[in-house]
Amino acid sequence: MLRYASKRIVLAIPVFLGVVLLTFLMLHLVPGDPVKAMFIQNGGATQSEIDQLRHQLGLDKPLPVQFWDYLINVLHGNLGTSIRTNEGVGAMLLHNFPPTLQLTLAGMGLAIVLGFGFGILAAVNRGRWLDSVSLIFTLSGVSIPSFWLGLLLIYAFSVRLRWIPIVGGPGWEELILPALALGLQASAIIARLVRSSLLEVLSEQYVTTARAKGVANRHVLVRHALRNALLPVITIIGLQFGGLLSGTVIIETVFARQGIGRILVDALQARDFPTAQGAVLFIAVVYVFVNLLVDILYGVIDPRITAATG
Amino acid sequence: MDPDPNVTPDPLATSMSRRRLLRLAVGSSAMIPLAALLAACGGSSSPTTPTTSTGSTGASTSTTSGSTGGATTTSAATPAGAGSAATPAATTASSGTAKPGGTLTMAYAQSVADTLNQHISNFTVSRMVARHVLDCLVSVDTTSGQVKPWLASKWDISADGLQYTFTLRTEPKFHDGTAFNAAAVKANFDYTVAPNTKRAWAYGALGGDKYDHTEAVDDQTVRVVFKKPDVGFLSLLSDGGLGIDSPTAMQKLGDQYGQKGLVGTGAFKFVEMVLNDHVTLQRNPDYNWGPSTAKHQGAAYLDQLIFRDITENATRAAALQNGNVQMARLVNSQVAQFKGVNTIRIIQIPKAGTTRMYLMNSAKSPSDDINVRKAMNMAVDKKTLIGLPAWAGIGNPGIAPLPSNMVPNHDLSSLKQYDIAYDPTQAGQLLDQAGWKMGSDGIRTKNGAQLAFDFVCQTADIPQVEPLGGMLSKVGAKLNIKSGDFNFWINNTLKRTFDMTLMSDSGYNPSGLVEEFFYSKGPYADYLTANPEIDTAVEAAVNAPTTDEMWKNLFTAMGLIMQQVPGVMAWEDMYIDGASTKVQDVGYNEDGFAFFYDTWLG
Repeated sequence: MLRYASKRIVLAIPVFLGVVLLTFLMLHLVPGDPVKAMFIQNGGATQSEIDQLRHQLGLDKPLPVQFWDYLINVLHGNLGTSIRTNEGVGAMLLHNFPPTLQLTLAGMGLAIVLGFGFGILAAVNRGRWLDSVSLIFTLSGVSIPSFWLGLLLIYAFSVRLRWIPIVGGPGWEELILPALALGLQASAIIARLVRSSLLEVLSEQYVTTARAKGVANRHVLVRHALRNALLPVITIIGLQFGGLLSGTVIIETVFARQGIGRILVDALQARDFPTAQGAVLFIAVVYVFVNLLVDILYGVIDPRITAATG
Repeated sequence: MDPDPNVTPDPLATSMSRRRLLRLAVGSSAMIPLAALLAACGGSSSPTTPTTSTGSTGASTSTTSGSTGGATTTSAATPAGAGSAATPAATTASSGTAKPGGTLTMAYAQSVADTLNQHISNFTVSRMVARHVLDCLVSVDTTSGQVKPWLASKWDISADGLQYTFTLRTEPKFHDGTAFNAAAVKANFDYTVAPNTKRAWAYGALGGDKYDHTEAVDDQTVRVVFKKPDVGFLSLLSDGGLGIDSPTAMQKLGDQYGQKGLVGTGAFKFVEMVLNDHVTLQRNPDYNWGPSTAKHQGAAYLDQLIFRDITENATRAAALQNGNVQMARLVNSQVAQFKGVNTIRIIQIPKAGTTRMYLMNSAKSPSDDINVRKAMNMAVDKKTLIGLPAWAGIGNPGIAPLPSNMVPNHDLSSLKQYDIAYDPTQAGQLLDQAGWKMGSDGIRTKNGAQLAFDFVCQTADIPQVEPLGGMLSKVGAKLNIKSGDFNFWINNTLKRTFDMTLMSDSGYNPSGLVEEFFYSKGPYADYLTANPEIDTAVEAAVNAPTTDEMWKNLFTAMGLIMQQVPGVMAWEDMYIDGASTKVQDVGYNEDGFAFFYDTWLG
């Protein structure tokens, strides 16, 4: 198991380097002079101020040298300084990560509960009305944009019904609608995958054998079928986590929540490139880390995988 | 779906008729989003139309052109004395007797973009927030346009306009207990112009290159000295951007000042700021030196004041409607949403700044021909434009580069002779004479080229540009809209790679605003070919020693500008605030932003 985990960790390194390279290139892919663009948005500057920032960002050096410096800084945890607030980007992101993580986990939790619930219902009731209900749910979930859903939820539950505040309420109350808007699409994908994966497992001979031996259907489902059906679902959940994390960019803006998503949007609008770069890199690294955990979890759930690949 | 023959039917599963399936499929369509939709439908919440009132403003200072805030405006504004710009009603109407208590939450799209340290911030709204913590030397009476005492009880201006000597009040105290005196004022201004201090709005408001130095004559007397006259300086002292901070606090907090703390002498004390989220202030119980323009003296009524960031327009309006916030800055399209909501009233505040202008590039064909520019003016029906949904009836038809609320006595009659009236028939004749013949496709051509304009704008401005395309098409012109973000728009205007653009700037600085766009060396003077007469008049206005002189030259400049027809002076814009009917006595400063010193909750 240890060998398996080590292998996954080593394989994550080139992925991480690729992410660093892409976020580094982000600044250079912007049309026009990004340094001038930063200043235009922030009130203008003299040529000496522009030159000073260019030197400060290392943009007057050759590109490979710039990348090397950037990589070394990132490895030392130095993501630069916000040109708007003069605050360290790393500190700003760490401070704003907890609310984003809270929202992402809440969305993920909701997605798993709804996804598994509808997926299992559909699988055990294949061909029946519950299966149709699940299909309608999944189609709705993948079709409705989260931005629109968020506004609709606000209008229905906050404005018309006044059940849930938009801002200023207790922490958990303010989390309900954003988590729902964020997690619904992921729950639809999970539901369909749980259904198809479970159906495949339920048709296996060992399941038939268990039933023939008189094991109750619920025990067949939970102890024998579900665990084997989990593997592809866990992969998807890992991928969905990244999707949810990046989805907070929209949801935090719609629901006026603090977090890395809001910081990223504001930084892009203000051409605060150090902050924008830092936020993108941060999200990407978390995503890589979560998928690494998923890979390791794979080995825990199914020992055959570690035996085969470890 | 056929049952899988390899799967043993679950005895717990129930069978289902087709009819029941259909019924339940319909019923199960009440998924969460659909349930939300049903919950959202239904009767209106109330039958009564809300009260609409007009708040004050006059000319004021601040943000950038286009629809987003950000960049600065510069220089001086309406000076003291007769002839100053004035607007109706400095505060909204109230009912009942003012009583202390309560928390008011005001929602802006963004309250603070960078810092509350106004010496280095370029963001307008944060100046308006900071003004509740920092008092100013003077306060503009937005009803009369007069500059009135605040921290300064009186002042003298030298005959040459180069020296302003202020006598300071003795009662004010900084929130940290340190003394407010001439040395503190000097320290503030010295910091603003110090070489290591980032150049921001405050630097320009203090006079920029015209400013020389400040002297603390004695504890209660401070003198500001200029190299050249700056008639707008006195009015700009009323802006939160030139509010007076505690030098002790600034030194103590260093780079963190404006984020971890803000200390002034104001009616409210800083509690906390969470960037991109909220700013919380609490009442200063010892306050007893309010501006003479206020309705009352003594401590503020509100216990607590919260400025909350809600970027998304729809969410901000929803937060107002459900009572999460008591006031919110709205956009035009949201006014209709509050019709029938009797707990909310809409306040319209004339925006200080330039008229919103569809400016044309006179260095580039087809708008290098003045007759084409005139014809485009004749094609635009300004009254109809303002009635369209993107305006929702808010605003007034434009006449000159400055709107009526920015000029003395709101009187632009002397410039009306240069205003080009809506006359599409004459527009067609003018274009015919200029050689632009109507094609079979409804677009005019000349020498093989179409009468087409590349209109460069910010994406958010498209709703207020598209109708122009419709109007121009009726006279045979075509509009190609090229949109992007703020940087895209500014880059194109600075490089002159546009035929038309939507432009304006907000601020309380008439001569500076005209200079910005129409002086040949101005930063955004990309529309007209250089005109020595206009330059002379603008220079005379900017350097005028008195306000009367400034206005005389400005009106001359505007007349000359209008005769060159730089574009369409389309509409005079307004800010829109929504407020709970419980909120009483909302004051508005010269910038068009709420000032809550007199405000109380009914």
